Amino acid sequence: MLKVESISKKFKEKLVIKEVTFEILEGEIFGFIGPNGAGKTTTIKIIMDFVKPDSGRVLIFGRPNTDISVRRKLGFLPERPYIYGSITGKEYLDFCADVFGVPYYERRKLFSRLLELVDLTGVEEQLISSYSKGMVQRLLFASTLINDPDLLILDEPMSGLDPVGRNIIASVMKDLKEKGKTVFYSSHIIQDVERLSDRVAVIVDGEIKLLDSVANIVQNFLKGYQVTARKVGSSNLEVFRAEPDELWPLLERLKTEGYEIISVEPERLSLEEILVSYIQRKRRAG
Amino acid sequence: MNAIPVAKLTFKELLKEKAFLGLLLFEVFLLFVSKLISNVVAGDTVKVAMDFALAFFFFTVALFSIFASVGSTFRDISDKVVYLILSKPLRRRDYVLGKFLGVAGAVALFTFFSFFVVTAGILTISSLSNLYVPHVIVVERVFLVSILTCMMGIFLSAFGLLFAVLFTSQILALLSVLFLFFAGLELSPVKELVTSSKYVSPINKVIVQLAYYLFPNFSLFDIKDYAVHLSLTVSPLYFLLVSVYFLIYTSAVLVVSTLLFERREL
Repeated sequence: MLKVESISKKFKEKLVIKEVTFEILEGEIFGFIGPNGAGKTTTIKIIMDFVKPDSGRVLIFGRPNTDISVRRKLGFLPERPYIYGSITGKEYLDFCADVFGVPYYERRKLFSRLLELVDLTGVEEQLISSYSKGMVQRLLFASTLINDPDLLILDEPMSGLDPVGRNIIASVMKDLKEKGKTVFYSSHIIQDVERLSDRVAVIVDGEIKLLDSVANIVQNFLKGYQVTARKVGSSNLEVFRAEPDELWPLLERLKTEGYEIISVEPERLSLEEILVSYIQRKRRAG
Repeated sequence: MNAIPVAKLTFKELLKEKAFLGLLLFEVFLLFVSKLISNVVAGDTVKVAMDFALAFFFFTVALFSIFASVGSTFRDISDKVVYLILSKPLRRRDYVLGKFLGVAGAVALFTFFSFFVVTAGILTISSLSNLYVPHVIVVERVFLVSILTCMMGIFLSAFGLLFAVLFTSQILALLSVLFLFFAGLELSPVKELVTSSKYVSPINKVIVQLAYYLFPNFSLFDIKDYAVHLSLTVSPLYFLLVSVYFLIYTSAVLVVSTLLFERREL
């Protein structure tokens, strides 16, 4: 669906993107995360052909990203998007419909469906200058769906939105996935990434440091274990904690001390905790 | 044609800009200024007032063209509107052409409204004076002035777009277009002065002649004397040649703008 092959980019002799490679599969939600200045937006700009890479290539639907025909089935939302305040929401949607050749008789129904999706029904005739920042973002998000895209590329779609707005965007993304659409998005709100993404790539200092499914990442980063046990003959439950590599010695010890093991629960870090510690570790090492 | 949606969007945006109405109102104010000046300057008051009113008209259209082309393109790039547009199946050349057509449409409409404002002003001024002025002829001549003024505005917009694409500073782009405009207005007198002088070397005369033909000549579009002095005539051939000049030069500027924009990293 989207293939990024060994792209590198220098700005004023500074290598900001280093051999970035990843592939996004059809029907998945792919989160692209990293700290500020890590290269998320530059990578997305290269994918969208706003910036040329010094080396490497990007394929969308198997064709080079420079081929504008790939954009017929692509939706894109930039970070902190803006559109002229002097036009109405409908006028902007009309522009998008004009570009994609949507017939006039289909527009009314299409626009109201899209606006309903992002909870903006009834505001399309108002000037965009009267919208809140979140409303503009939701309008522009809705406009990316006007061509029923197979691939959606979103740069920080949740930033600047209130929890309600974030939920709206998240639920639309989930709906799109259910319809077999592919979503590639960058975010620094890791809770959103954790609940939405099938796979994530972590970019730090222009390099992909980690690329895996959310489930695998969380699975591989264990904080330890919680062991619940009781003395044979006693009804009191006792809880013990073990580091990941200390589980077996603990179980042996409890057995010799006459304990009956009731349960062993792995203690997992949240994706956020994992990434923060991971990025800090990589930075210290690098 | 893929440029049309961009042209429509740009046109709608500019039409609702405060500058559009603001400059039209400013033009009404300048008409009053023209009348006041004509009262204190020696000569035919109607002709003096017309001269000033048409000069203000020319400069207001030029100002609108510069601010519309440079401002709108810069806003697109700095506020990332260009990302929204170019993420759609549009080529960068469609964007440049669409932007130009949208600005050109707004300039044409601005000139059209200005024509009514200026004509109404001139007719009012002439009816207030005791001098005989044939109104029908004046309106017709002001209309012809408006057509060339509109061409000048569109021509200037092409340069506005070029500098907006070329420079990363809006102020620099605005100043460059303003400089180009004023220099382009003064080309003819400079050329006349240099070529007729015996103190200028032949090489310098050739350089000035070359500059005269290569530099955009905005004075070609300024025919206000024709509207003011009813004894003057402008041949249809002049209009034809100016139109050809306008079409060729504007197309060349647009081609350069497109080439620059295609190489620009956004």
